[in-house]
Amino acid sequence: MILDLITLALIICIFSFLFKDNPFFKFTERLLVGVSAGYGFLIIIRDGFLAKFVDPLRTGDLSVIIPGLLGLMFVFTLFRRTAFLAKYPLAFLLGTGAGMEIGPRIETSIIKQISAMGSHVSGPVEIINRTVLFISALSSLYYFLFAVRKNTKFDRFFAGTGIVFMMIAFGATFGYTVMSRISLLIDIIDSVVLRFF
Amino acid sequence: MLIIVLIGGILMIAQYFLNIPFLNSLYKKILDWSIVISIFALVIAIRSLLARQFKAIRERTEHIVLPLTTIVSFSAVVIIGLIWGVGEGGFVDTVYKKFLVPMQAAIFSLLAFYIASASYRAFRAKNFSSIVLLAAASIVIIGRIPLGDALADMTTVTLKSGPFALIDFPRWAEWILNVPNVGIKRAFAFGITIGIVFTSLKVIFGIERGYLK
Repeated sequence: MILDLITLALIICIFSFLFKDNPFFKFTERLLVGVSAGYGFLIIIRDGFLAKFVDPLRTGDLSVIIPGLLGLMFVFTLFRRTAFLAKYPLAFLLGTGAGMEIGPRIETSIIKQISAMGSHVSGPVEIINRTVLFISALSSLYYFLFAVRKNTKFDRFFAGTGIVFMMIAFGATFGYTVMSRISLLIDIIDSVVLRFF
Repeated sequence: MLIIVLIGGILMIAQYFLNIPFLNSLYKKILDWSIVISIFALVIAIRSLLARQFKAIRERTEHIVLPLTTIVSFSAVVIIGLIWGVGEGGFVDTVYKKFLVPMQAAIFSLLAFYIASASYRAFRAKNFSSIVLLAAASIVIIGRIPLGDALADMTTVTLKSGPFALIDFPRWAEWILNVPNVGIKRAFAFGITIGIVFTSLKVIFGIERGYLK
């Protein structure tokens, strides 16, 4: 009950920002930053440091010393003379990270999406839907194709179609976001505020 | 440094396209290694957060209570979590459920008010594009509230093929979200992916060296 009351007080402090920026909101904001950072730190220590570094060391896997040493190099950023050493772990993360991105990205965002557009359809409604989907994707891609000059009537019409479809998608995304935020607000009012009234 | 990037990048590309057991196990190992390295980066980030708070206290750039709140709340959660653990039902778990989740939801729900005021400015039907945007957003919003269902119920007529709603916002909203919206998302995904792939290749082959500065 006391915890719920504290939560309610803090929520009121957050909503006080709607009036204007004030010390109560600033205090809650800083409290949230501190607690979030502390919580995140603890979770990463448990799921990252202990699980991926300490536990393998205990079982005799000495290879984890390599990332341990690379990670320690980040500490050298604190000293001006040795700051360049922090670039080595960064280079490792960037190189491997970039390499890891390429394959899965091509597969999930290009190949699988194209194959999904070409998969079997049944019934006239599905055929119409698939056609609209295909034209919307193609026309918006065409709109962003800056390498080709769009001089003919068809070019302008097709690029314009792309804009219309993009506006529909932006509107839908906007409406969806508004509704999700309002759902959060209703949930907060329902689960925390209304409990006391 | 460029050699590390080049070798790391090529090995990771190769492990995806070539099914070599050594490279596959190396990939799994490097994933774990990346987590370990990132933890040290997080320590630096937290040090930076705390240093900023101490600097604010020293230089009195804001009221002393504000930086102190961050330092004390961070330290309290970390110390209590390290002593008593972060398991289910403990102090840290309670802080997460009773404090972090509702607070974050409250901060996000604040945006509902700002979106409402922004939409008032943005949703002026000035030209054809903005009319389309306004119509799509309105259909999705009405389609996801009880009013949309009520309108569909009120305007339902019975045809030979079965009941049919003349004003069916929920169905229209679903169609917009599942058909043109998905098409545009796919097109954007193509563009973003091409950008990511070429930027990654530029990093791997040393054309992009901004991180070295």
